[in-house]
Amino acid sequence: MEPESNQPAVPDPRAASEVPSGETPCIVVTGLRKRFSDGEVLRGIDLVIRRGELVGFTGRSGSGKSTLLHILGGLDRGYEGKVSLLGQDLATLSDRALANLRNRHIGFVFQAFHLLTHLSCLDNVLLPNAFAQEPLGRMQAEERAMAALTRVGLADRRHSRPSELSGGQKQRVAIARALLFQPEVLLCDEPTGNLDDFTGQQIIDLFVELNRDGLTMVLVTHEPRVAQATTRLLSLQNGLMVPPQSLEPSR
Amino acid sequence: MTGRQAAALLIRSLQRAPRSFALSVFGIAVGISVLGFFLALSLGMQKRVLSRIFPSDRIEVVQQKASVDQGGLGALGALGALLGGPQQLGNDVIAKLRSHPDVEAVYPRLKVAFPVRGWGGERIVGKPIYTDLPIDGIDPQAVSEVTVPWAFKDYVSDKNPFCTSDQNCQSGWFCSWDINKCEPPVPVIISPTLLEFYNGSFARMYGLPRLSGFLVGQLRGMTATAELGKSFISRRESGKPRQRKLVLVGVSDRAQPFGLTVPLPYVQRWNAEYAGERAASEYSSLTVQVRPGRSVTRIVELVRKLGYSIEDNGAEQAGLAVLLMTALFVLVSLSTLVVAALNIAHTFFRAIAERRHELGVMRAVGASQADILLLVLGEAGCVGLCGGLVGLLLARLAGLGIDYLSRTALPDFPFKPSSYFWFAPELLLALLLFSVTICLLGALLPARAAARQSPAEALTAK
Ligand SMILES: Nc1ncnc2c1ncn2[C@@H]1O[C@H](COP(=O)(O)OP(=O)(O)OP(=O)(O)O)[C@@H](O)[C@H]1O
Ligand SMILES: [Mg+2]
Repeated sequence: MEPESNQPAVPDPRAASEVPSGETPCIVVTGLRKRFSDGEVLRGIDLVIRRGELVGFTGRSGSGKSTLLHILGGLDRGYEGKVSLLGQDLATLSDRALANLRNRHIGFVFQAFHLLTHLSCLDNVLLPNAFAQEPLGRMQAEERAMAALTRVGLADRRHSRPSELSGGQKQRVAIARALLFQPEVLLCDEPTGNLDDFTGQQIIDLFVELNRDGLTMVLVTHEPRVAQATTRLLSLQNGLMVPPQSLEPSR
Repeated sequence: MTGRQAAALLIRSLQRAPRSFALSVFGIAVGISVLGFFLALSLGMQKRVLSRIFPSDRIEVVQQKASVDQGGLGALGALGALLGGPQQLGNDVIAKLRSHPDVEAVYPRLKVAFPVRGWGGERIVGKPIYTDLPIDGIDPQAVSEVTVPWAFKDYVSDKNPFCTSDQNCQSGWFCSWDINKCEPPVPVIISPTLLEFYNGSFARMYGLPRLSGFLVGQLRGMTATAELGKSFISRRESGKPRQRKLVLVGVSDRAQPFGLTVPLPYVQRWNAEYAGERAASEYSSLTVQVRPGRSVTRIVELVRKLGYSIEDNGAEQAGLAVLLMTALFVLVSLSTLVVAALNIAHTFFRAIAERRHELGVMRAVGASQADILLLVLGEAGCVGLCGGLVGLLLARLAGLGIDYLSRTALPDFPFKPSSYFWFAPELLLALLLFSVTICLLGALLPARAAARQSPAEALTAK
């Protein structure tokens, strides 16, 4: 089922050793390469992320962190190598099946929040339900959305437009949206990049809390503060994944 | 994504840019309104004007003309011509046509083959009108189901009483002095077309009352005098001139459009006397009534095969003229619609460029390529639907306005319709579908581009 059973195209003892037997890892990446028109950004990434981990990616600007995160979340299919999420090889999935996987099992949080400006907070949080293959009924969906908004502490702002919120509040609405269907994994691309220290810390605290409740998380970040919250920190350098030099490895 | 979810997203997406939506709708509406206006006008002209002037449920069979107009089947006709002129219209043809399943009835007609002039009409005009009279005869059977069948018959008989003046005859009869016999006046029917022309131009020109409804009934029984064998226009004279009284017995669309129509036996007798036996032994044409709901085409085929022609009554040319006009305006409105579709394409390309992040987010939270395609096309479909509805409304209003102007500001003219337009339900539906289709076509490329872009690129786009 896992790439390790194939002929090992890229030998990676670490990946194999870190998979606890009997449990499917959340994410398994083998020999991942990504090339843009102006050069190769990822040059053979091997990576295993187990369930319940809070993994941080660091690396210089332009090192390919966002690119990697997009590939892990099934937002970018133009890569070489193998990427498995929750035991499913992304390359073998149809567009519809991949969309379903994103809908039900993956949550995304972006630096720029990416809320839909013409929808209220509640409707933004409800957006995944619109694209669900079997959408929840209005009542049930709103109940869930309210639960997610309550979780991020914004239940009272459900009717506000994103433009009426502060940056931290916007990011929390975006997190609530990612949590609507209680995904297995949350992929966050510099979630505190646009926030001040205090607000950023609140978001980090929220992530730690979510992780404690069992959510697997992948965080792209520049900030040492965020990095400190991770259970494992990895760095992208020259298109390869290496343990970071400058930051404390874990808390 | 279910239909309901899609609809909810669509509505909120359209609400956010009302001006751009309104502009796109307006572009489509203009094209559709022009298209709808002219198509409805064309349909209206066909239905309310042409079909009244040229009834489509009957054809007029005539002898083949000089053998030029035939196509492939013409060989037969040409052969016939070699063997002694065009085939005559006799009783055998009538029998053949009557046995055709699409034929309801066949009525022979015969034109008077010599000059006739007449005078009368004091009762409407105030003084007698003098004019040459085109007269034809039709099988009295043809009139049996319309107007007054009992009145439209041949009453002449050898047993009519002797007379020297009208006073010798019973009331309503007249003395035919050339044979010294009392005879009833010759019953005449006229066509609604003639009435239309009287009402539409003659009555207006001379300030005379319009004839319709019960006024037409008043005309009934009006007499006039015809003088056989003489003409006001030409010097041609034939036979021994004699006068006969005519009496109008009704209005029927079986009458010839411009002239008087009398029972066939009169014309047969008169032609035999004034123009020779041959002019009496054949018919000048046959009116073939088509069964309701059947088409004329198969009958026309049979007629051609038998070696006869269909009288060209101008319907084809008139229909063609209307068709050409329609085609012209349809072309104009189609080009407006092409522009509108290009405008839609442009607007949507811009919109999806502006909404790249949004489309990326949708993909990230679970939208498939098909969902995105559906959403973009859905918006275009809404534009098409609204544009179509607004356009049809505009066309309808323009039609009502023109009908109103025509009613109030235009003088009467023959066949003036109460409405020039026919907004057939099928037309409305077709135009609505067309409007939606145009918008979908316009949005197809933008929608495909939107669906195909990689979500990662959409999200990271500047
Ligand atoms: N769509 C694209 N087309 C071409 N090149 C791209 C594209 N997306 C990213 N790149 C290139 O790939 C490299 C990695 O980009 P990426 O956004 O993954 O970096 P990053 O590590 O997330 O940087 P940052 O910390 O600034 O967000 C960059 O050099 C970038 O120019
Ligand atoms: Mg980045």
